Amino acid sequence: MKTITILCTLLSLILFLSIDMQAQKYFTREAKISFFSEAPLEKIEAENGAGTCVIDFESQQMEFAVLIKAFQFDKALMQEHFNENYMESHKFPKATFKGKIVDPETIDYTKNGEYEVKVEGKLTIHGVENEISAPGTIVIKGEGIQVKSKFSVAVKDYDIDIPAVVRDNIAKTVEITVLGDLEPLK
Amino acid sequence: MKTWKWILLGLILAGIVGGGIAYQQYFKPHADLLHSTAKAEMSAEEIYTVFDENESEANEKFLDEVIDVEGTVKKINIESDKSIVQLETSHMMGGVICEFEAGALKEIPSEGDVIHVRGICTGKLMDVVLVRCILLNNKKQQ
Repeated sequence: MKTITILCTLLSLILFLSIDMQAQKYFTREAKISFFSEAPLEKIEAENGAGTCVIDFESQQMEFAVLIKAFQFDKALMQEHFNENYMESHKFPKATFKGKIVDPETIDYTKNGEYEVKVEGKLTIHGVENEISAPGTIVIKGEGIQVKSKFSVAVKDYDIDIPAVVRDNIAKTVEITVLGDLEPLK
Repeated sequence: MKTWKWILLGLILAGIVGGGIAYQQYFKPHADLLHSTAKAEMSAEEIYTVFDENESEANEKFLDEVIDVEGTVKKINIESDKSIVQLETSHMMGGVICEFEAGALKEIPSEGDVIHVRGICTGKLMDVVLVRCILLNNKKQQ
């Protein structure tokens, strides 16, 4: 009888934690979004440490947003060209991603660990929206979670016009890395 | 000296000057905020409200501009590559995010301190975001 009571209590606790985690929304305003491209003349890389990210484990929806002008380059001139000539950040100040975890069954919300997931959704850069699919990792760790992803986008898919004179020095695809430590949204 | 020699000398000089200018441009440093003049001096509450009420107008006015902001520290996240200090406002979900490059935050404030920050305004997501910040002063919480 005692064993059954303990088992029932444990089961209820696991169920409660599982439901609680799944119902939870997680959030950060300090997601790190960086990009990298390697071309014959030089590599281009920049990082932004103030991206926002919200994940709702009930609906599996996730959203990222980032300010284009907050991308920091080592070289000031490169940053100027990025904002003025390519991204036109005065016209299109934000990039966003709105999507969904398509295989949430791979995540065990009750157990700390790393879970590989697939995310699909709409990525908007330079005012152009495209459907994308990207691999991601969700790390469940205590109260918080961490999200990681690395994927590539083609510059031409976002109507980013690269002048012919520098076309060979700029890679056709750019690798985007996302890293965020999210806290429960209370 | 023959004409062609003058032309050659001119071309070499033009090449040296042009190369020098190109080199200087390519490696020009980021704006020195300590010696810049701020376009505006506002409280965290004021700048957040300006963006919250009319974002596109605020973008026109403040995007890429050096702004001085005073506010109370809500949260600090110190990392090796960069540090983020959040300034609070009366808005439940929004404030001002100040991003400091590695080593730029000479004195680490505490939560509740009133600080005076200079940074470049990059717009608003949930918060107004300032980058390449420097700390102008730090009034310790009483």
